[in-house]
Amino acid sequence: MSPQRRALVLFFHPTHKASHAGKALAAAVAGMNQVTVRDMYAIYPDYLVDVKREQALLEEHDLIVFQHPVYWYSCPPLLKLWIDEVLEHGWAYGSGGTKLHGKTLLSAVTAGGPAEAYSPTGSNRHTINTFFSPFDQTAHLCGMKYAAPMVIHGARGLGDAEIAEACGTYQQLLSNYISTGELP
Amino acid sequence: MSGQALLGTIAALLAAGVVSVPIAKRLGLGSVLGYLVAGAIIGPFGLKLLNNSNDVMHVAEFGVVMLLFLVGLELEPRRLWSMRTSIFGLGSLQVILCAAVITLCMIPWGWNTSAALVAGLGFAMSSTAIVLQILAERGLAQSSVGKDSFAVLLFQDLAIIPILAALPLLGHSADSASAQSQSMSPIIRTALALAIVAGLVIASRTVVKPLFRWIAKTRQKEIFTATALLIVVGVALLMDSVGLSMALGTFLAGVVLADCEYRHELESNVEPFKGLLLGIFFTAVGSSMDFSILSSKPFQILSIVSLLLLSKIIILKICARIFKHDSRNGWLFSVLLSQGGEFAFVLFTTARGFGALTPDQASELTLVVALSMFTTPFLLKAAERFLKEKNTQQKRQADEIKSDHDPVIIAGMGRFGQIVARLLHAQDVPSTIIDYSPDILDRVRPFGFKVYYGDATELALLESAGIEHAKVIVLAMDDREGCLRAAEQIKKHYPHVRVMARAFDMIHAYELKDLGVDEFERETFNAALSLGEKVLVSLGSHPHAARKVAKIFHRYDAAVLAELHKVYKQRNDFVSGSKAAREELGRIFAVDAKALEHGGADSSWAVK
Repeated sequence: MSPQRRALVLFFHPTHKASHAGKALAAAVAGMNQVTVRDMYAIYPDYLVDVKREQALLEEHDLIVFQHPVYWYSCPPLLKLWIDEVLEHGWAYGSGGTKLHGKTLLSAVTAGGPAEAYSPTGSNRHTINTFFSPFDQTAHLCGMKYAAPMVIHGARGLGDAEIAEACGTYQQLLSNYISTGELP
Repeated sequence: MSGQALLGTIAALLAAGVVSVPIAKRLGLGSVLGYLVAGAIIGPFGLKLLNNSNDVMHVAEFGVVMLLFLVGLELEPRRLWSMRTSIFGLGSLQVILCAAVITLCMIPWGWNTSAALVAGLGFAMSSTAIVLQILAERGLAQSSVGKDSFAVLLFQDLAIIPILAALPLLGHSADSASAQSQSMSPIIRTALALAIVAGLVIASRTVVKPLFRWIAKTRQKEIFTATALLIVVGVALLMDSVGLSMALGTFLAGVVLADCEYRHELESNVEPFKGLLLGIFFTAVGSSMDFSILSSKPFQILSIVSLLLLSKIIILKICARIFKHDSRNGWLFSVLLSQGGEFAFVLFTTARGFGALTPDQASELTLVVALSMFTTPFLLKAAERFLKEKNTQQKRQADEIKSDHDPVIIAGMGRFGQIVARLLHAQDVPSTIIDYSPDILDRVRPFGFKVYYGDATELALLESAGIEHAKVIVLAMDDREGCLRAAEQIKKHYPHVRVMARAFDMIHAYELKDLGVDEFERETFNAALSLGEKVLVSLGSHPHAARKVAKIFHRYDAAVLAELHKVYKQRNDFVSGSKAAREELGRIFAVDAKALEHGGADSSWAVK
């Protein structure tokens, strides 16, 4: 792996107006060196994913970030479609499907509910890690490492200071990865 | 006339039209003036190529008859009925007022009462041929001005019947036999005319349809054309035989046949004959002008022309006012109908026969009417210019009052612009509309649009519409060259405004792009793509798969367009537009085959 690693942030948010924290987070990392940010709902307004283009971009990067709000304990529909179509058999998995081997997948998500809700005793009854096990397994099938998800809780009610703090954490995470290849 | 001489006359008529009509159109004066000038040039006072213009005119008058037949075909009885107030109210008001005023003005000039009355009645009529031709050329036929003009013309057509019937009463040296026949039978003739119309209604349902079906089966196109012409000529002769005007008769026949399933075939078969004959008719009118009278009594002739025009314009304007046209429409309406018409020629000739006019008076009046026909294109152009300036000034004042400017200007509110405007309106995006149809502007104004009448290729108008403060201008005019000119102006003077244009086709898209247009959309592309998608579905494609293929094709097409644009730039600087378009089609089919090779419809979960 090259000493200068590259991160690809795929930002999925269908309702930009409602995305307070999400937009700020994407903007915070957009200017960083070695980081490519793509606003997927702007690029594919009609859900027509350009598979070849997406695969080429994946090959050029080492860290893949799925940044999105948590919708119904999972991701917005375009990300699911993206996974269905881009991670092809024979390319991402299956025989000869080795293009993603050794890369890292990170989920960077904003959740409406408070942190306490995502616990066996909370209102959502499960942890984020449990809800996101399909992403974990997807990464695993494709030979990727699945990093611990970065979760911004209570995203809808965050003040400017808290959003700035979250942005700082996000930037720190990516720059750490780029220089060391490690994520917590 | 020998065959050779006939061919010579035809050649002269056609050549004159071919030369002068394009010039007149280029000058923005319309084809009618072109024909009239052509006629004057080849007539007895010009090159002397056409010396028997009366014969020619009689044949060519049939163009007017065909014109009215075609107008009738467009008018179903229901729509005709809805126009009754305009026809009888507006029409009668105009004819009576004009005839009265002109008659009263002629008497002090030494015309006896009956001659003055003939002149007044003749001058009250307008030219159906000129007005309808102008309306069609300017796309005004369906506007309120167009409809009311037509209503007035229709009333004049009706009015000419009793007027012609009453002429013998005005005559001094009445030819008793013909006066007898003309004055005796109006009731019987009216009854006969009604019977013919009733017969037509029945025939259109029982005879015409089977006849056309039978003819259509022969698959001989010329026989179909012959049938269409036979119907028109036959009806015209029938009507004429009972003393109804041929034009009115065929108009009624047209109305009766309007809901016949072969209407479009009738239309397309009669149309070319109408156009040619009308052209020849105007040329004949031009050549019939007796310039010797004009040079011997220029003052008298020109004052009668002015009397005719001024009194008609003023009276028509008043009528328009009474019938609730705004100032702009009122002026257009009154200028449009200001000339004397072809019925006046008939009336004056007939009146001379009954001694109501002396031969000198008849040719003077005929010359006056012909000269008045010349003025309409000029007056109309002047009126439009005047109204446009007035309009711009008014809007400027309004602009000073309100300081808010719309972020979007939509230039052209036809079938394309309307859809853009609807979407924006539904999203509460305020837009300013520029169009040259007062009717459309009137219709959208209540919905909160700011509207400007005029030509969006003129920078002054764009400026008063607030281009300086706009974010986006949508060029949606139905005018290829106009879109290019407007784009060029805007990009030059207001480069910060995003220009989004309707492109007519690929070549037009390239031209727009080269002028710096930010976005374009080919007007038919998305609609055609959607229809293609439906074809795929009806052939058994899953709707989702078909939609996806269409979307992929759309994306691919954008790439192809960009690629071919480069090629086009290198190759086609000197190739004509249509040739370039054909070459483009060839290139695009060659690459289309590869369009859907990869990234096809169902790649997800497909195991290779």
